Amino acid sequence: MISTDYVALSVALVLGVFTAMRTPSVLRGHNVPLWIAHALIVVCLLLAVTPVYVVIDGMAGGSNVANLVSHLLFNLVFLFGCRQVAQSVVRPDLVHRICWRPGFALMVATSLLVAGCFVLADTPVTSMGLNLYRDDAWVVAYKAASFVYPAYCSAVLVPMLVREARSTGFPLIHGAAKGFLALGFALMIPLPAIHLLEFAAEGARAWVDVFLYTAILLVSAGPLLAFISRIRRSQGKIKLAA
Amino acid sequence: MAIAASAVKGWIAEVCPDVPLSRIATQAGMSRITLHQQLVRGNVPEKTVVAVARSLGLSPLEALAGFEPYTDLRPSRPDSREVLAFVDWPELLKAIASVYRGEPIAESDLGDLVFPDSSRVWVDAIDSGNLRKAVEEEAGLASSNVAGALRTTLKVSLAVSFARNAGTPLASAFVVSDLLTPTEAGWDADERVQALLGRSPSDLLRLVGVRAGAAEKHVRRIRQFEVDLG
Repeated sequence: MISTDYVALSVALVLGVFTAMRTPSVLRGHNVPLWIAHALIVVCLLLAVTPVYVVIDGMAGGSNVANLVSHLLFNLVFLFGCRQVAQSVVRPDLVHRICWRPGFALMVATSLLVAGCFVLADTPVTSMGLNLYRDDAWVVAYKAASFVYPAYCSAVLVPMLVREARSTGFPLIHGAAKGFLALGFALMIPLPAIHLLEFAAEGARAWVDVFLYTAILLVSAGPLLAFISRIRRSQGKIKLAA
Repeated sequence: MAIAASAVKGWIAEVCPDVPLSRIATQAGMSRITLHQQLVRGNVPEKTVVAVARSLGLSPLEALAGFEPYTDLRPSRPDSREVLAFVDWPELLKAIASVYRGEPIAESDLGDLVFPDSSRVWVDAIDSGNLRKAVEEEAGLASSNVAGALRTTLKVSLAVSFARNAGTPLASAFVVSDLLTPTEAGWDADERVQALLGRSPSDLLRLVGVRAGAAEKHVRRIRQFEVDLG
């Protein structure tokens, strides 16, 4: 395993714990979409760990289909996750922009584009992150296209989250949760551009991991704080006012 | 809607001639660099004028009224529609219960004038129907942006726009924005108590209904965050 494998595995374990914490609520039918988003991101993160990826991709034929699946699942993570975030602050207009037109159309279009670039790229042998093929322009385009819908959803949510984090009259823990979400989503916005920078500077790809894993951890801190707040309130340890 | 720096420079030269800018800034509780930058950039926030006026023992309201676009700013008691919007709902309910039972109430029982959600409560109180729409058009803002602005302490430019469109005293807009104290705005010392005692029990109970409904919405928003993300 290389260093990024350990990073991905660590983040997967953290998110795995968050997912496990939510499982009892899900069994009672509470917040199923958010649990799905958590579970899918854990799958994506595990597929970013070389030994796991090699085994899974090997089972799928050894032609990097697992990488394609992981990128498509990432879009679903944002569809389910961002919808919940917009709904949690009572913004049906943002829910609409993420899940219906133009968001859903963008997700379908970019997913087709991602699949098309993957087919056009020549990646016959299993390679974690398609690192063996990073010189192929189709691979770079494939990677950049994968992050267009997440970047779009993030751009839709960030201004609202910044305003919400600064709002008065809410418990401090809610403000902190919204602040983490805003920061994390803000880091997602430049990812397609950073991937495209690979055409100009190969070193740009290292920044993708820095932005991506930091963003995942920050974004996941938001629902975690909301979860803690809900549990504390149910135990009578938190007031409604700030 | 800040104030032109050239006008503020002229005012400073007039009210404290020969005093170095650094001393004016220190006395006003701000850094010399901040004040210098504001004067150089061309626009000075209203709160700077208020801070400098207070530090010199001048009336902040009269200082603001010396500048465009606030030349129509006058000391004024609050409009009857708005005065009880400056009491948060828990204090309001307690005070109305006291009035109903004939028990004495004091200004100090009514809490802070600026409280969480106070901007929205104030706008609700002075809005006779189309106020938000008029302000959105005047400020060129989307309704979601105005709604977002109402969740924080209102910026003075928006508060002024709301007051002008609603026909309420401009001075109250500066109180809502937490720039002027009620006394500086021209209110009586026990303005809120007078308003409570001057209303009929039916009026007060109707107000309880309105404010309880608004508070319930606010509480529901807080719970919604945990329902969907918790």
